[in-house]
Amino acid sequence: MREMTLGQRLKRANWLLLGLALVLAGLGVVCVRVASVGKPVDYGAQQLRWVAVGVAACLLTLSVPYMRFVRLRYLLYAAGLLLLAAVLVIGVGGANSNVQRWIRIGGFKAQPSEFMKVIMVIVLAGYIRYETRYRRFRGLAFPFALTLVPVLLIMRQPDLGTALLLIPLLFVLLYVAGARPHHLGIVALGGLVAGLLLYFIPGLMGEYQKNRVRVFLMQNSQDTAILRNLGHQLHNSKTVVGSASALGEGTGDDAAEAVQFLPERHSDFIFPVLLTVLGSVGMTVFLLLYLLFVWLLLRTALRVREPAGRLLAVGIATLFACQATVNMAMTVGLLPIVGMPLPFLSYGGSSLLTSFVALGLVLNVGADHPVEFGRGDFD
Amino acid sequence: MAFRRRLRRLFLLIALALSAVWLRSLELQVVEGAEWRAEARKRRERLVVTGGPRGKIVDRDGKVLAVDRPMFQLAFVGWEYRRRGRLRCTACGAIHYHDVDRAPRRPRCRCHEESSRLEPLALPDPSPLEDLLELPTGELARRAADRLQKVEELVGARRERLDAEGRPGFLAHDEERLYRADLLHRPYVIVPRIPEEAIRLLELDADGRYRGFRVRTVLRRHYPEGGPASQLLGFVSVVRDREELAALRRRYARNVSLDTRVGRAGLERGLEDLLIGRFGRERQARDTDGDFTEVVWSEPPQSGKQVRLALTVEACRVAEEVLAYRGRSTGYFPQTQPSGGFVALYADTGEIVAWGEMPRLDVTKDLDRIFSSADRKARFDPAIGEWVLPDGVDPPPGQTVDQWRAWLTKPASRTLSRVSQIPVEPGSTFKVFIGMGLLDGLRQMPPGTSLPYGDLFGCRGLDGYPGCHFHAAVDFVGALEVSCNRYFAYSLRDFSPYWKVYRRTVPVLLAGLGFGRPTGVDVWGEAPGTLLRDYVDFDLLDVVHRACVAVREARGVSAEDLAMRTLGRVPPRVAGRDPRRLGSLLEAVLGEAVGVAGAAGQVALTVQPGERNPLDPHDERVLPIRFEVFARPHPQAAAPRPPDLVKLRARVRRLGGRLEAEVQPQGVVTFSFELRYREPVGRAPGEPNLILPDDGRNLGIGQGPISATPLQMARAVAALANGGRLVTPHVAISADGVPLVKPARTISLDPRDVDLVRAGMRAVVDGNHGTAREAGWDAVPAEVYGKTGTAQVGKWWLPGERPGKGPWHHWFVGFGEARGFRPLAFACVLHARTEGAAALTSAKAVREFLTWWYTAGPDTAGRRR
Repeated sequence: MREMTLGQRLKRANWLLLGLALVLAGLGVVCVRVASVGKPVDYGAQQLRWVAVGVAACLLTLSVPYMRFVRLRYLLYAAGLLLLAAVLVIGVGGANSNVQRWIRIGGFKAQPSEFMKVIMVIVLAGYIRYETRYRRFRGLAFPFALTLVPVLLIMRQPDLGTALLLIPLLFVLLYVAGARPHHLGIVALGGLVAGLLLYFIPGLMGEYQKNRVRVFLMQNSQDTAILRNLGHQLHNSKTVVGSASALGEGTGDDAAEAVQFLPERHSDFIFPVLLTVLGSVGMTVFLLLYLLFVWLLLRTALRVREPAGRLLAVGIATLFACQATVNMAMTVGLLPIVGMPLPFLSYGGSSLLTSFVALGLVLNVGADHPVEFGRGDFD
Repeated sequence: MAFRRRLRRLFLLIALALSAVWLRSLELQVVEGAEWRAEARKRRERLVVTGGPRGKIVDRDGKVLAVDRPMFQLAFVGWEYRRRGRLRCTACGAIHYHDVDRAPRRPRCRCHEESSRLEPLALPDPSPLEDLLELPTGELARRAADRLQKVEELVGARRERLDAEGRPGFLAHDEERLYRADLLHRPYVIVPRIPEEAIRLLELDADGRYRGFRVRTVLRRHYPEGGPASQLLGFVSVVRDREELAALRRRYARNVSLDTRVGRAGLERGLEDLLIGRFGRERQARDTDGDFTEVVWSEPPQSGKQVRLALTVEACRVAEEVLAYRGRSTGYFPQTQPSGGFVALYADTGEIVAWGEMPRLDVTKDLDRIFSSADRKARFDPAIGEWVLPDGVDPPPGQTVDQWRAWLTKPASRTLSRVSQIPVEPGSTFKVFIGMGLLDGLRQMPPGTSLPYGDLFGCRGLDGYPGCHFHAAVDFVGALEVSCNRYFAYSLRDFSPYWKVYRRTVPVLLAGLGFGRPTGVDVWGEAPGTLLRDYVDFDLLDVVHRACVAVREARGVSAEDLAMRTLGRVPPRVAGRDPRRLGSLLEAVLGEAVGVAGAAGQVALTVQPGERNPLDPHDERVLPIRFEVFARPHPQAAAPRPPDLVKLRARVRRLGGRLEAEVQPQGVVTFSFELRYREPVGRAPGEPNLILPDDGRNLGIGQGPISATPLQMARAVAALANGGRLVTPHVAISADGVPLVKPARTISLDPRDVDLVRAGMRAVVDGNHGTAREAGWDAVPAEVYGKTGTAQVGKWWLPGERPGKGPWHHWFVGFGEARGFRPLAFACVLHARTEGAAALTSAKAVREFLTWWYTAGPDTAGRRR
């Protein structure tokens, strides 16, 4: 069967989805610009450039049939692992931290763990597409092994948030593909126990990671030592969220002043900035938009019959939903603080590029209908 | 369908998660909104507190004695110097700031004029300012660079500390960033005083030439008259540490910060409640650059109250001049600095009208030492009763630590007032009050009892006893006139029944006159003096027993054990059959025990030699040796444990039996002196209130266990002048025009006794044998009542000197009355090296002051016209 041309793909692509993504990215540019007032770099302008690059990457992804990515999944997987390993050797840290998450390429810094998220979606989708063993308990071992390798590598950077994001992705893909829920439940229980062991056995978890959990549990404490030191990020974030008005401060000086004391406000803590700019009414609209965005992603999965495409759409919807939920939840004190950007909004070239590439994949899935030679649609 | 169902569940889960975020956001905004908004306001705004100036102090004539004056400093603000570039709008002239490391954020001015263009202003070039400040070219830049380097060092040190604590990198970075910003925003003084031309130059700096350099205005206390008595005015300095700050904030409604100057001594401290200024407050908001430039709300600072004093500068100067003249001209001071104090107050109200000190504190030089960083970092150690410096802190330049301590706390210090802070033995001036006590006790005796020695008392037959003035037989008035030592000393040592009465009535009367406690004057740091109100007499056995108990409790050993340890140190002259054993026992109980007990502030012990009745040569009785124990709680001592009386008595009997059998009385006395028993006990060496508790009868002549300040003496004689009202001396008479009233109370003085004492005091000045007659009172147009007195002090007044060789205290106290004048009570003390002409010198000093007071003083203003 003849492959679709780029023109046909563009014609059949879900432009509403792309439009929504651009709206979200536009909001991101505005918020990043407000957040970068008083900082030595105008992050807003840079973010705009990355949006342009992201859209180009999205269209590029759209132009290639997604099944090619699926077929090349293990190659991509190996390349991703190589990059993650390279980070541990030649990686560099951020300006403000002692972590090691980036690789310097020319004048840019790339974050391989961001790309690995999309690669993992492709790898898992491809694996589940051609296998049925995961429906048995023992069959879960391989997909889990596939996932745990990058998880461990990412945790070494350390980047707990990104690493743990891959776990729900795996669970969701297995669940929608028809894995037994009680099998997944047992594994989840085991994971929970492992998490507790990680926390309580000395040396397995970094002290700062434990502190974040402690701060989360003690966030209502009146202890100024906690508020000013370990817990100051959460406290400041809640201060901005709690003091936001109903209609927002707009993008003027007032908004910039209101978020001046917020750390990492242009990246991980962009949600409080958005709340300050748009107010609680705007925040409600934003959440509805995001929900609509996720729903459109899932609807793509429903509309196609090809299993790998379905899984790709579901996986990417899960990625976006998980990242967004965790990011926003941590800024309001519902989850411990982790380093996780808000897709399309947070400043960061790798994050934005990955998001648009992921979106391009889903658009690709929605536009392409390859002939199905294998299994049915997981029904 | 199953896939669709699973997706629906997944979507529902996502929707639920986002709903949770939405609800939590609303909770923070609606339910907890007020709290977070207040927190946000706190983060975006800051409260800048400006200290209010201290109130002025003026004398009775309105002459300013203390006032706050602004002083200008050049401060360096690293934040501005480092990163703030300036752009000026060519249309409206508004100045815009930007980070010099990057392009301006705003390309246009807010005025939006067509012709608006932002032109960069000059980079810092402070050379004109350096010329004005007479600094070498580039010096300001060098100091600025030093400061910036220091900031980086401090930040680096903080960073190392955070790393050592294992703080995560991003948190450490945040804290480091905030710390650096805080240091860079804080004005740092790089030139402590700048001229007005420099201020103008900085104010007119429209083109940013002196970017990063600011004028900082601080208030300094200024004493235009340099006094009068600087010890009276005292001084101020900034709050020493956070602990002190917390205490002061509780007291002064938070109007105190670490920059606030608070009174440290004298009136500045005594009137702190009135003088302290009220803070001004200004709430500032951040601009978009994160700097606090917008004033949201402000409340100006308020000055403290203006306090008016009763005294005049002129009166104080006269007082100090007569002290200085008499101190130097009489040749009393071949080796030591002259010192003394004079105070005069209205006897009817207690308003202090003159206050003189010698030596006088030099506020321009001496206070610089007090303001030194050493003083600010010093801590008072109650264990040793002295100020100590922490490690690494040096005393002020040119002083050793010991000198510096002495400067602050020793009696010789200039910072201490000789009028209110150094109590000394009042000597024979005390006979006035002892006499009142004798007369008071007389009424408690059977009807018909006369004065202790009948109508007349003669010393002629008592040659060989010390202290005889070789005068004719005297009555009570005559005894005061000639200042007969024996009359008053033996009154308290008599064998007759008078003795036991006087030993009660005299201390009661002295306490009634306010001795032994502060007068309540508004000058801070007044010494209470010493009055042994609660002394208890014990016989030798009691003393021994109590000493043993004290030793055992203090050391955890028995007296016998202690005695065994000292066996090798017994002089052979101790009487008794077994000198070694007795000696050790005595040494243990007298030396060690009293040392321990005395140092703990429990007892002061004095030895009274056995003696015969000096009035009756036929009386063969010999008074037993008496060891007097004076209960004297020490403020730094733990509360003494009450003794177990039953066990006490048992030990007394056991020890007493041995001592009575083995020790001859004279041996005990001799040995007690060998043990250097005459030295003061119960107080740390060098403290101003020195007492020699070696002779109980010294009390009768104002020596031994008694001390008073000139202020206390003036107040007590004021009670004789006004007929029995004990006034509260005070210097301040009004605050912001509102009179300050001080309480007075009536004490029970029999008018007949007062008349008799007044007659004696008048005779001191006017009588043929008056001890102050030679001072020459003809020039004083008033009736002066007075009493001279000379008292010896212990050797610790001057280190290394033997007792009796230190400077003695020469007193003259009394009051003057003249028609049309308010009664004036006064007290003058001169600390002389040897006895010389004794208190007559003080009387001359007073005479000179009174001559001025009644002929040219402030109360004569109307008459002169």
